[in-house]
Amino acid sequence: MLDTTMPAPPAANDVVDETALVRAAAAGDTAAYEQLYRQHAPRVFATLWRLCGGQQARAEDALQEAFLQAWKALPGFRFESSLSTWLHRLGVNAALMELRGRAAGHDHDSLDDVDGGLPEMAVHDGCAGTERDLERALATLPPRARAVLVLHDIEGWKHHEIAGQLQMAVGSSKAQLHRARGLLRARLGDMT
Amino acid sequence: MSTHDPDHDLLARLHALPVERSAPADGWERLSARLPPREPGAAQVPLDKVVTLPLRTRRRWWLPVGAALAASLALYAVAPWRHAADTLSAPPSGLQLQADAMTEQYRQAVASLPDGTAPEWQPALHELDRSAEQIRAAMAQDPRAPHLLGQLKRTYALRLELTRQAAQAASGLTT
Repeated sequence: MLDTTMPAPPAANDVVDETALVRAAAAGDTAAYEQLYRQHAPRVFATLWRLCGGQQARAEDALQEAFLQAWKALPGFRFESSLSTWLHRLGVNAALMELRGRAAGHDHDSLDDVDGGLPEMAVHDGCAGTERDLERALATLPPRARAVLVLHDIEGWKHHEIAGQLQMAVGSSKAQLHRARGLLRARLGDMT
Repeated sequence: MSTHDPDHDLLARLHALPVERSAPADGWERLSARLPPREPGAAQVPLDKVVTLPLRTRRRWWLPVGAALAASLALYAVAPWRHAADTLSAPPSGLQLQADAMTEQYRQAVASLPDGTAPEWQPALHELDRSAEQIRAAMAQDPRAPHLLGQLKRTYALRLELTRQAAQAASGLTT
């Protein structure tokens, strides 16, 4: 999973180094874990930041939680997936839990939110088409639709994986993706 | 008739988004302050021994572990609260009731997963069980600490995810 968005395969030396770092960190070496954190955090953070609708503080909390849980679980890591994929999974899980947790507090950007709770952002200006505008438009999507789109179209997850993670039916994941793309095109002013 | 796929351009733009984003400058400092120390003996099992374990051997671990987990979770779900209720002579708080419901949902979710886990996953799973136990104990002592509910939820979610991955590993699927 996540194969379409994983970085290019690392060189053999990198694999050996990362394996050694993982084993050292699993044994309690925090310096080794710091290297792993600094290597992987930027990529995980990009995903969490998008899942959290560009809300920096929430994405940071999710990142912290993911790497805290990874530290606890690292002794069980056996390289059956890449470390990057595993960390991504933990990160996505932390971000989704963060969003679900907002439901109890009636946060407008919780995963249980429905359409229309978020203010429309004007992206039909002269700068439309830029990367920044795309990120801004993504952030305006309803949280659940946004999560499906980010995981499917950017992170390369399959619908059954998304459905499992978001606790929804596969058909719902497909419907949310269709809806998210339509909303995104509309907000970008791309009505083709 | 146009054959233009409206999703094509959008997907191309999404794929072109940067794959990395600068993590918080003080992220490591904050994280390192929260890392619990490793317990002695928590280091991993040698990899070569783990990955070559026969599938049947790995599957045998699941039943006793699952039974122990279910029993321990049931205990954690009940015992600390009863103790707190006895001590404080007060009914469970709303937070405790939410935690109780969450624990039950978690227990059912674990029970619904396919049988099978690999022994190399046990340290991590046990560690998460211990974390959940500690959180529940903390909730019993301070039933008005809402952040504990979030911690418990995240711990259960991670435990479920790892249990799912462990089951996949035991069945021969790559995780």
